[in-house]
Parts: sequence; C-alpha cells; structure tokens
Amino acid sequence: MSLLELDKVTVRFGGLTAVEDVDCAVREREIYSIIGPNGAGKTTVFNVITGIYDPSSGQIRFRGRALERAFTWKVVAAAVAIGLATGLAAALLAVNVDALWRATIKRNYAGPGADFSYRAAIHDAWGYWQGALALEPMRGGRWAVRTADGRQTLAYAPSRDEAERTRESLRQLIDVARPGPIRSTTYLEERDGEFVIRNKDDTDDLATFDSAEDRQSALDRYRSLDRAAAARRRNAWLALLGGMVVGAAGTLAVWYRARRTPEVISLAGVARTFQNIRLFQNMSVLENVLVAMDRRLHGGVLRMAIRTPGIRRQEREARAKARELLDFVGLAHREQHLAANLAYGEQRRLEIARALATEPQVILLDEPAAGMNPAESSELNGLIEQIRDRGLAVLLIEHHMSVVMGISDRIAVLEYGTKIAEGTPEQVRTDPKVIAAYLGDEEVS
Amino acid sequence: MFPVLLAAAEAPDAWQTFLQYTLIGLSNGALFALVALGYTMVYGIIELINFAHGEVFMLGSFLALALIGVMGLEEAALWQRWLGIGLLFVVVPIFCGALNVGIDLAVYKPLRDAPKLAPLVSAIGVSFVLMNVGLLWGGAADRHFPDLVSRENLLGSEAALSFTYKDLMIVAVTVPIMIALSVFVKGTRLGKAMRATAQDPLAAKLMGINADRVISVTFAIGGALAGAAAVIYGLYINTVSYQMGFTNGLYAFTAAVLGGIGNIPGAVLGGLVIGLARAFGSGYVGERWTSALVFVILIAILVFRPAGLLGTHAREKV
Amino acid sequence: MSAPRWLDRMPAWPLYLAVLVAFPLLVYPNEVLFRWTGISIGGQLTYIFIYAILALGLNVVVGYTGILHLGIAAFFGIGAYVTGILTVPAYPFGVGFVAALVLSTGAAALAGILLGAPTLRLRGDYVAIVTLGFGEVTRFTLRNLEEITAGTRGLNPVPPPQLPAFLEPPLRLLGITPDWSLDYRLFYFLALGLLLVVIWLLHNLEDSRLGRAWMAIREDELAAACMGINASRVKLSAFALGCGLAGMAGCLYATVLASTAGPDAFDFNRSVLMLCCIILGGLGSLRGTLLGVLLLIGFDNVVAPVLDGFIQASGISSGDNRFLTFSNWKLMIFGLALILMMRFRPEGLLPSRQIEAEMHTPQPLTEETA
Repeated sequence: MSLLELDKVTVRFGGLTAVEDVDCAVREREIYSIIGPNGAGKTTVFNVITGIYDPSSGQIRFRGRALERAFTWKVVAAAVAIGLATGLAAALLAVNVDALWRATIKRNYAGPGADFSYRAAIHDAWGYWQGALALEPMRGGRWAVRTADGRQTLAYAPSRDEAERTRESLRQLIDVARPGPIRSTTYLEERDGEFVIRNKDDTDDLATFDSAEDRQSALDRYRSLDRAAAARRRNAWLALLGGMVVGAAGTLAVWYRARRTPEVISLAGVARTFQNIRLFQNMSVLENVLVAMDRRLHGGVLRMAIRTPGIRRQEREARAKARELLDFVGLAHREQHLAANLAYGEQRRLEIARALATEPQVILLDEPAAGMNPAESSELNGLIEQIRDRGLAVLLIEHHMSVVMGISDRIAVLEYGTKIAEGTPEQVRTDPKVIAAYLGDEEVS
Repeated sequence: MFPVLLAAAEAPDAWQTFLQYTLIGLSNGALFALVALGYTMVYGIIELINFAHGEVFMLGSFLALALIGVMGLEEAALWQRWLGIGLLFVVVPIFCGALNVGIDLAVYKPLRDAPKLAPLVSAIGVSFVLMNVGLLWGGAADRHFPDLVSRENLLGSEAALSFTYKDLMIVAVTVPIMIALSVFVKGTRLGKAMRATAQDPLAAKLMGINADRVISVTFAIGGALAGAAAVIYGLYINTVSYQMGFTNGLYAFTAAVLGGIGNIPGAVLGGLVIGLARAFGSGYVGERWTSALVFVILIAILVFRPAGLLGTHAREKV
Repeated sequence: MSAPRWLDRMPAWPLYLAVLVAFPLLVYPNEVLFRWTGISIGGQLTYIFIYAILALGLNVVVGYTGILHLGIAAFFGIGAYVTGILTVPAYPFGVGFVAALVLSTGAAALAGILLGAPTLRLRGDYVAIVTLGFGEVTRFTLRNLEEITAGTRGLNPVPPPQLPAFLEPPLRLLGITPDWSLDYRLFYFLALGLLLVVIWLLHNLEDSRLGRAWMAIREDELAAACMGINASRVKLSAFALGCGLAGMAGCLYATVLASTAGPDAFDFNRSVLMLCCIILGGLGSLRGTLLGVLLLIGFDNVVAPVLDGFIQASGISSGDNRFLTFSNWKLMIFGLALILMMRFRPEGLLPSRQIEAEMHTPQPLTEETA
C-alpha cells in the first residue's frame, strides 16, 4: 500500500486552476520527486498536502485514511457543553441576574453576623422564577410587599406578620385574577354599593372597592404581574434554547473549519520544509528543533511553571534528542546561534532537522538545494538518502537535476498544474513530453 | 432576536414601534457606516487599524462647534443657517481629511516596513494625543452642540411614525456620499489604483502606481468622511465631548469588522447592522445593555463568518 | 579600571531585591521621602508590585505570544470584583484571602477562556478589537449590575487577610505592627512576595515547551502549525494565563485598597497604560516589563501628583485652569511615549534578545491570495 496518496487533487483559486487532477502515490522508504517548470503548481501540491490549502476536489490519503481531525465523541461533548454554557448564560441574563441576586442573596442575608442559608436562597430562586411576592424590611420596622425582582411595591405593612398576611391575600388575588376556566362572574360581586373580589373556592372577601372601575384596574394590575412573570419564564426558555443552539452550532462550525489544519497533518506524520525558509529566525538553533518536538513533551501549565523533576528530566531528554538531530544534519556546533545568523545552506539543513523532530513518516522537502553550491548540494544528496535510510519516505521538489536524477526512485513531472509524466529517472529523462515541456520554454534548469 | 420580536408582537402598536426602531436604527447606522468607511479603507490599503480615526471624528465635531460660535449661526436667519451648515460640511471634512493625512505622513509612514505591531501601537498613541487635544480644547465635561436642524416631524405632527428633518439630513448627506464613493472607487483611475494597491501593494508598485499618493488619498477621503459624520453627529445628537471619538469609533470599527474589514460595502452593511442592533437593543432590552448586545452579535457573527459578513478569507502564500 | 570577573558575572537582581526588602524595614528613607513629597513611596510601591503582576500577565499574551490584548483591565476588574463579592461583609460568603485569590485568578482565567475560545482563531487585528470591546462591555456590565456590584460606588470594605498567629512574633521583631491598616509594610511584603512567585513561575515557563510554543507562534504561526503545534490551543493557554494573572492582581488590588473601586478604574486607559508599560520596558522581557511598570506607574502615581502639588503650591495655577494641571496632559504624554518608542526604540528599554532582533527585521513580504 502507498504511504501517501493523491487522488485526482484539484486546487482552484477563484477562477485560476493551480493544480488539476493530480494523482500520485508515495511508497514507504521511497524518494519521490516532483519536477516541472516554474509555476507548474509544485509548491501548491505541498501546500494542499500539508493542509495550508484545502483541495477544491479530489482526495489526499495517508495510509489509506483522509488526513482530517476525526469526528469523535469529544467534539459532540464539547458542542453540548459549550451549548449548555451559552444557553445558561443567556437564560441568566434573560431572567435578569441582577434582580435574581437581590431575590436570593440580599433578601436572605441581613448583614454581618446574620445567618444565611443556601437552602432558603435556592427556595427563593424558585420563587423568583414562579413570580412569587417577596417581603423586604424597610426603615422604621415597616415591611414592603414587592414583586420578586423588587421593581414594584404592592403594599406596605407595619410588621412582618401583617406583611405575611398581606402577601397571602395578594397571592390569592393574583390567583383569582388569573384568566382561567372560572369566569369573572363567579368571584366578582356587588354588595351594598361595594365592589368585592371573592375567593374562587369559598366566600371569603379578598378585597373591596368603591367602584367597578377601581376593581377592574386592580384586577388588570394583578393580571399584568402574572403576565410579566410568564413573559420572563418564556424569555428565559427562549434564551436558553437560542443560546444552546448558537453555542453548539458555533462549536461545530469552528470544529468544521479546523478539521484539516497543518497541525493535524503534521501530527499524523507528514513533515515539511519551506521553499522560502520559514525558521523561527530569532530563536536559537536548538530551540527551533525543540519547538518541533512539542507533541512529544507532556505536562500541564502548572507543572511546567514550577518545574517538577519529571518536567526537568523530560526537558533534558528532549535536548539530547534535539542535539542528536542537529548532529545528524551537521549543525551540532551551532546550537546556541540564532537561526537568522546561519548561512543559507545551514538554514536549509536546520529546516530539515526541525521537520525530522516531529517524527514524521514522510517528509516533504521544498527545493532543499536552492541556493547551495555543488559541494553542498552533493552533501545534501547524502543527507536525503540517510533520511530515507532512517525509514522515512521523502517527497522532494527540486530544480537541481543532479540532485533529482541522482537519488530519486521515481519522478513526477508537472506542467501547468497537471501531471504529464511519471516514472524512474531514466523513463522521465527520455519522455518526449518532458523534453518538450522543458525545452519548449527554453529554460533548462 | 426571537424573544425580542415576540415581545414586540405582544405590545399594542407593535409594528409601529418596530418600524420606528428600524428607522432610528437605519439612520444611526448610516452615521456609523460613514465613520466605519474611514477605518475600512485605511485597513484595506495598509492593513492598519487606525485607532486615531475616532479622534479625528471627535476633533471634527469640536471644530464644527467652534465654527458655529464664530459664525453666530444660532441667532442667524434661516437661510443663513442653512448656508452656514453647508459651509460646515465643506470646512470640517477638509480639516479632518488634512489632519488624517498629516497623521499618516508624520507617524505611520516611517513605520511602513516595521512589524505590524508598531504602527498599531503608534495609532493608539496618536489617539491618546488627539484625545488630550480634545480635552484641552473642550474641557472634560459634555458640551452642548446647538440644535440648528428642526425636530419637526416630516410626516406631520400627528403621525404615529416620526421622521424628522434631522433624520432627513442624515439620509440626504450619507447616501450621496456613499454613492459618490463607490463611483470613485469603481470608476476613476485613482480609485482603481486604490483597489489595486489594497489587493497587492507590491504588484501595484511594479505597475507604476504611486503607492504613497494612493495612501494619502485614502487617508484624506477617510478623514473627510469622518468630518462629514462629525458635523451630522453634532447636529443630530447635540452633545459632544472629548470621549465621543473613542466610544463612537469603537462602534464604527466594530461595524467595519462585522462587515469584513477592508471591504467598502461591508462597512456600510456593518454600520447598518450595528445601528439596527443598537436601536432594537435600547428599545426592547434596555439602553444599558446595548453595547453588550452589539458585542455578543459581533462575536456570534465572527464565529460563523471569521472574516466578517462580506469579507473574504485572506490566505498566506507559502 | 574594571571590576573583578566574579562581580561581572553576578546577576544584578539580588541587589535590587535587597534594596526592595531593606527600604521599608529601614523606615527612615520612606519617612524622609514622605516629608518631601507628601506621598508614601512604600505604599505606592505596593501598588507598583500589583501592577507589575498585571503587566507580567499582559506580557504573556502580548509579549510572548504576540496577541494584541487591549482589554486587560477588564480581567483586572473581574479579579477585583470577584474578590469583593466573595469577601465584603454585605454578602454572606466571607471567604478568606487565599481562597479569594485562587477564585479570582480562576474566574479571570475562565473569562479569558470564554472570550478567547471563539475569537483567538481570528485574524490578529480582529482579536485586538474583540478584546477592546470586551473591556468596555465588562466595564458597563460592572456598572449596570447594580444589585451585585453596587454600581459606580464599588464594593467595600474588602477585609484584609487573616495573619497567621505564628507570623506575629517575627514581624514584631522586624518592627512591623501586625495590623494591616496601621502598617503599610504588611501589604508591601505580601505584594512583593506574590510578585516574586509570579516572576519565578514565568521564568520557568519561558524555558518550557509552552514558552517555546508561544514564541514560535509569535514568530511564524504557520510554520509553527506545520510543526504540529496547535496554535489556537497554545494561544488560548497564554490568554488564560495572562488573564488569570490579571485577575490575581485584581484580587490583590481590591484587598490593598479595601474596596473594588468603581468600574471606571478598569477602563481602556488602564489597559493602554499597562500596554505602554510593557512596550516601554521591552515586549517579551521579564526585566523590561518590571522596569516599564516602575517607570510609568511610578510616573503616574508618584511623579504626576507631586508635580501637580508643586504647581498648585507655587501659585502658578489655582487649579481651575485646565492647561496648567499636570494630570490633564497625561494622555498626551503616554500617547507621545508610545509614538516615539515605536519610531525610535520599538524593542523597548530592556528588550529580550529575540524581540530586539524581530523589531529590526523588515516585515517579510507576504502576498495575499483571495
């Protein structure tokens, strides 16, 4: 089975097709080169493999699987959790968290030294949700009966007991005023010129008024209280629902966008270097390699911050490993230099060491010999073969024919984004289409 | 939005109220769009959040206030008043445009090749300096801006909806400006050079476009738009203060981001969205929570469209 | 004449630390300075330590990771208010200082995660505007939740920490009265101690897997991603840590001030002032950040009021002329400082080796394709 496989990959930018229907398959421990004139789409192929671009169509498989972040239960769990969190936050805002605080914490706590019971607070939170009436002490020992959010004062009473009674009768009045199956005639009476509201169940008078208009306006007021509580509950449910939908959908949208990022592909075992060197210029040579070993290191922020012995040992081991890699590319003597201060050829080799540090199974080298003199480039040949001997497959873009022809197992030729030939160096060298492509524009590299 | 609409449906005259809020939202939104355009155009050309833009706007309204005092417009006859207001719409934009160009030449231009953080931080610095100029010019307290445009309802004093001369002024100034701007950017040589520079500064330079000139023109236009917005703001809101540049600049910038920064139609769309969100927010949720609402909308839109409503995702070339 | 080699090689920080420890213990210097300026320098140093923690937090986000964070004051405020709610006698929670410190740090970090998770994937400029917006919205929210936060007045009194009994004798031995309200030096050493712990932790982090990943992302996010670094998660960790430290500073601030202060203490100016500190001192550099805080907060809290006092006393101004009040020029001074620093010394006064190099590399020409 091939290690890395491109299946009819096409990349379009707006109306421009950079790569069209390219097939290719890199086998294990193979050096596979892509050549072609400038602008043939070689680097685009690298970018689409490493997740910098998404293919417009076609598939890229690594060991037979698409290189994408898997859709696991974790994604679902995150979507649900974030959805719940945003939903709850929205609902809290919708019920007015400020008034809720007053109803649960402030009313239940008289001040320093007083008792506070969380049970009572939770009870009052439920009351707030239901639209219950609350009692609040006032100056001079008087008490006020207010709506749960404290916005409206319905009555004052000289003592707490009196206030309790007022609250109870108000509660019944609101209950009676609530539109329901028993219609108004059953509890509204006119007696001796007084306009009475009766309890629905028995004959107790709840309130008396001087005129029918007064009674009606009182009833309207009680109804509006009831309606406000209902509206608050409904808004809270809607906010909960809306928040959950937005939160969960947002999480999924973010996951969807991030399912094929360079880091996922790097973690799967595909490493690369860049045509225009992209080292961390202002970090040291050793640090550049250590950055790429990130995923092999473990430990949370706290453990790193206090530098536990485990972290120290791990750090030592990582440094040893990084030095080994620097030695492999011949940069061991440079480890404390800034990457920016290295010579061009050294920077290219550092990029290779950095890519190797991610412990890949296939490494993509984008013109590693660019800017090198013949001696350096023949050294590079040896290095690439050594990389292959470490068990890696190498996918190579190169203009130096001496490099390409000397070490490649197979070569693909791209022109104008399509593959025009593929085969061993010998086959490619004699392919008339390749010769035309290269000689046609009179620029032999 | 849904609970808000339900609440609207419940109240009597719900649709009238809704329409009224929409009108307010659109006219305020047009104002934000005018300021947002300055942000987005500058960003489009040199990828810089020009934090000082809001302060240019603020100084513009201070200048308008001073000019009104000098010309004695409050006591003037009606025709003189209109002439004076017309004059404001000429002088203040010129001042703001020149100020903006001056800032660019003095502060941002030397930093063209520096890392992105440098001009950005400088822009914050310029914003502070200008805010301080405003503080010294106008003092720390809010200043009253003369109420020169009538609040009379154009739809008749009995009409249920209100659309005043002030609202008319916003429409009458912003719509032609926006049309002129889009004609300029699409049709003229300079406008095309501007778009080319925004897309690819290097290529534009190689094609013989004078990038410095294009950048200066962009700053001039952005500043002038802010100047026009400053006059409208003063005449419409009637209160100016040295901090108004920051708060309104923040809304305008949010509008630019929401629409997709660098995108001119996006800034207008974003401005209208912010205007509407603010109007509905203060109408249905409460004045105090408007800014939080706008912020939540911004985050929600960016989660689903990371480059803004009309923005395109820029890709880095490797 | 050159110093002996061992002196050359000795780090300077133990000396600074010794001065900072000795200054309040000697009593006399502070009293002399107080007589000159009318300001307790020791008391102001306590605030400088607190702002240093805040600035170090901001430095993790802006300096190490390269995310422009314009709303750090909001997280400072969240820390202060969480502490206020948990400790003031008006509320039943009555949590101790250590618990409040942990919870405020955690709450601010959580707020940072909630803000960062959906937004840190966005383009850098968008993150700047989102953090700026968050800062303003937090301030309005703190003002609007009047039942909880007491509106513009702020929550008070925030009680001082409980002093463990075993500490009293040694403190008396050093001549310190073990009463928080009588002797500023208790808070002084508390803040200094916490600052030292934070410095130590950050110093360790700088040279760890995470610190390297932060800096790699600042240098080249795409290359870092191609090396298998999960950029959004790494940025989120920096953001959470930075905001958490801001919350910790906020807790300390409220405790020392014995009040949460009003919401306007946590406005955009505060955020930019902290940004000025780390830029002046040197982005990404621990030493630079500390120096920047010392210079700018020292200027803001000590020099500016002293100058205002002199101007008043000298009779140049009766105080109603706004041009002659020094504080009215503060924004101008900070603004000019930012502009001039960016123009002439963008790497700051004490830059980290790496940022210095970055600031002098011309921006690589990247072409954008749609």
